[in-house]
Amino acid sequence: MPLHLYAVVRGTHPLPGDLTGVRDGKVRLVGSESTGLAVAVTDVPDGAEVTEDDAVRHLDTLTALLPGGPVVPLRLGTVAPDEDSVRAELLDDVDHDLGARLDGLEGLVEVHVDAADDEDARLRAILADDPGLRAGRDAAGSAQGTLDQQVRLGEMVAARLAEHRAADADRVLAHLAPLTLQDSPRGSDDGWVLRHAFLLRADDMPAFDVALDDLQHDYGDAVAFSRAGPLPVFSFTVLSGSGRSRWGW
Amino acid sequence: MTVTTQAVNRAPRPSSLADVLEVVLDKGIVIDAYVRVAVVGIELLTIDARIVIASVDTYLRFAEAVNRLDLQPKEQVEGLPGMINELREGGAEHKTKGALSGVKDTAQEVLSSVTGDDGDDEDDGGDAEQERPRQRARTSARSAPASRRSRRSRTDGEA
Repeated sequence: MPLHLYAVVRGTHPLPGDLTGVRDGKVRLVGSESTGLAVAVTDVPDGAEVTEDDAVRHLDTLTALLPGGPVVPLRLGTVAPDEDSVRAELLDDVDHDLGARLDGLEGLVEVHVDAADDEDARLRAILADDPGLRAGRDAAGSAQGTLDQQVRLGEMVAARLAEHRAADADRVLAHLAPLTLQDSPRGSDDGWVLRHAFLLRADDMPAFDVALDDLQHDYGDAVAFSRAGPLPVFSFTVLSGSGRSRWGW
Repeated sequence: MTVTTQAVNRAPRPSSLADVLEVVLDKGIVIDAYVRVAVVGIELLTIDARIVIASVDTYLRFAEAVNRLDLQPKEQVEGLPGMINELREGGAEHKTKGALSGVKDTAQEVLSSVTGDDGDDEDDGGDAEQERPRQRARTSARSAPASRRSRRSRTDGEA
């Protein structure tokens, strides 16, 4: 029976009791004696396609594995024909550098933070700051205002909006930087103050949450912060040698 | 004095499907021979809805939004810190007239307001009328920025 592959872990990785994955399959480890590595798998029917629900269960399974030790996620939709091929083509293939990857991820987690501002309040602040914009508004809003003027006004507003959001994003990043090892934008932040992934030590999660609370308190209703995680490390390339020296611990 | 206490929304993983897909779709190590490319049931729309296009429609929406702002009580406020202080000091009622009520306007409506068809009710159009969409928008922004965002871009698409 084919196997849905979730993540490479150490052979000694503890599995949470009754952990189920896609299609409610029971998660088990397929281990390699020679390398001491294992991969978390569930059985899947032959020819089964990957669904949206599978995507959610895949991520849930990875997240459930995380407290037990480092987790190297496999790409969603990775399906192997049988256990022997998993060992031969994944676990025992030195090209994948899996031992070093696992060591590099020891004690690290990824956290996603979104910051969405109150656009209404933001627009007020922008207008209050900028007499030119108010003049543009008055011209465009008057009875003689043309569509061109409307578009120009909107363009100016959009530009100022982006500037203000970028300035806030810098403040947020500066506030969180002491607690994080790396950060990376997650796709476009158009329309947001910030959408970022952070790499941090699992031990620093409580302090990170406090820092986010501080930010939320400072911004009040103006910006709503949300964070998802801790997640396995997806967005950062971490290898033991260079990683340890670069971060200095 | 009203102090707003807004908590950071925390979740073990991204709450919306779009955000889950963003995490798992293109990430993780690849064993070439094993990866099945097709993911069934994931509509392109899910991804596309997250792209906010900087277009004339967007600009018109912003223009409409600032045209609707009643600036009178806000003229003295300088910048975001001042704005936050004002919010903490109970200025919340000023915020109920809102730019976000403009979000749902289509470009067509913007055009008609430019030509004066419904230009009368912009500033005094009734707080109650504008308060409701305002609060809905705030709630969804708090719990799920992604849905707020996709709604916004869908609106753009309809225009």
